[in-house]
Amino acid sequence: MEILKIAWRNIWRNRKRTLITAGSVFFALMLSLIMVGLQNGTYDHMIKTSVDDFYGYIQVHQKGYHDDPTLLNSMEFNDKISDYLLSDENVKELHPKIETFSLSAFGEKTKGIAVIGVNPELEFTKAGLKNRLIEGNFPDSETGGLLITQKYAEFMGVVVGDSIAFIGQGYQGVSAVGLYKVTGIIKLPNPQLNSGLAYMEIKQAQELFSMQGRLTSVVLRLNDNSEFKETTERLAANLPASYEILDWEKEMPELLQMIESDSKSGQIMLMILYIVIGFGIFGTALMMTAERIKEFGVMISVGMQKSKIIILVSCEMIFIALVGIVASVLASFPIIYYLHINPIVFTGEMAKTYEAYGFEAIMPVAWQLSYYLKEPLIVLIITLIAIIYPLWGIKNIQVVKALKK
Amino acid sequence: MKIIEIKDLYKIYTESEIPVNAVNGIDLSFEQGEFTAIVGPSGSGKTTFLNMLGGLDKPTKGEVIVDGVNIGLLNSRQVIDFRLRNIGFVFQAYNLIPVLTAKENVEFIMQLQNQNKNDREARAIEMLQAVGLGDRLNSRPSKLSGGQQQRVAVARALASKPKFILADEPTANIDSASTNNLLEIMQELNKKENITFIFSTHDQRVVNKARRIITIDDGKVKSDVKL
Repeated sequence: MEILKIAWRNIWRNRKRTLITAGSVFFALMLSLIMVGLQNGTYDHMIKTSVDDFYGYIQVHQKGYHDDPTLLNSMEFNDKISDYLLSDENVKELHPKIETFSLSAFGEKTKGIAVIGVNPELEFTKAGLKNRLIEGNFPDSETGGLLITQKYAEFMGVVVGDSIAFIGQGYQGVSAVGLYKVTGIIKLPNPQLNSGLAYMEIKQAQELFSMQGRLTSVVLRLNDNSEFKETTERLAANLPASYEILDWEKEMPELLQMIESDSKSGQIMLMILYIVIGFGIFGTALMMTAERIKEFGVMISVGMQKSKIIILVSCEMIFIALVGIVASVLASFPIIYYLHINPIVFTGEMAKTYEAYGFEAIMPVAWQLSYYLKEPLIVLIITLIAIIYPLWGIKNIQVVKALKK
Repeated sequence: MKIIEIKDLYKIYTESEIPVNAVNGIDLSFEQGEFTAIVGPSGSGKTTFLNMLGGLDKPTKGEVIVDGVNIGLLNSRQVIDFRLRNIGFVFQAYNLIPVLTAKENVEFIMQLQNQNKNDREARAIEMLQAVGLGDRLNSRPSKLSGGQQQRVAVARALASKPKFILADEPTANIDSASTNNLLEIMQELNKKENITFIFSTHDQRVVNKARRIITIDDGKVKSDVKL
């Protein structure tokens, strides 16, 4: 207790220096917390709009579909495989899908688009799609219909109630032709998807593409999305050989690579900030020990072991770092929360760049405590590393020389 | 009863080109309850001698035996622990811990000795009252005069009940009135607690109060007078 009391009082002997050092920790940590929040918020948003709302965390296909995603590699999906997948504790639901492409036509205009056959009751009740309807209604299993995306509707000049013709190729080369009434329009955050996608009821899609009883993929909805890797591994162990199971990282390696490469550049920035913190603490620790050599000499003379002096100075430096860390966390969290509620929205060229990569032009900030625990911990570890050399100096103090200082 | 025995003590500094014999063969012993002044000109070897007596410096040759323990043979941790339990120090520049109050400074060494809080507090108050600072228990060193700080240092040195106290020029930085007051306090505590005091000093007022005067010059004992 005494050591903590002395350490706390000691750091205020030179108030200015303590505040400057704590200030360097404060600003650097605040920047790093906001940066981490922006990075993780952006990645989470990318994953949410691409994975959670669209592809799903895990998909099951006919073996070979991932490498050659054509209707020829579609699968028959029976109760046995369905029961097996649902037997996993983390699997909540199975969402059957048919994903293919077709030429669409309305009036004088034509456009190739992605056509996705889904179970409306499962697919359109998800928050990711449910909240994005901007006009009309979702198709349902009874009446069918077509749900198209906003940019596509604008390009084709289609409104709710119009009918779009599809001309394409079905299973085993059969011609796929049909006319479908638009029941609703959605706006998707992913610009690429928003400019050319149509959802239809899965039985309609099976009929259009001559795929009775067949699916291209089954999306596994999970109770805990963060457990997707473990769940994939568990299910892959006993999956029949004619199927393949892939998580989103394997399904969309380009998204993962993009996140990883962006994350690397963020890590370099963080490293620079931490080096600044490290040298600030190192300098203070060096001064605090160098100017108190005589004091330490006296302490050793009267019977204080060097190890206790080392603990004392370590506590002092940890206190200074903690002052900066606590102040930084208290100041950063309101800013992070504000940016979480009001994400940065890009406009102009920046927005175009984002959209060119297929992402919504916003930069949300993550509001998840686990993202922010690491940074203060790193600052504490840096503090401990930065004081090693000054503490080594205490270990080597020669009492007689110290007393003469 | 002998508490310190010094046998054939040498300290030779070899850092410079010409070796310096700071202590050049001293044989002495000190009895329990002595009030001894070590005098001599600057550079005579007083402080080096005192440092070796307190285990702060290792002799080049010879032995310092305190209560049967040759402190030159102890490792650095053991010698620090030995000082904690057996030796009190009073420095010329007081050297109190600036962030602790007078009472906390006196308690500090007892805390290092792991004494319980109640005993520590009671002893600290008793010692500060004995040096006439019962009304300044909660003052920090910066709020005390030089003389008062040195009295706190004496209380600190005595509080842990050491076998002897080494005081290096304890009156060098304080005024005459404070010097007389401090010497009277130390004499009284010497009699009351039977603690051995060994001073190194230039101050004639300290010498006048001493009951044994050892004169050192060129690292050797020139005279040893018991009064």
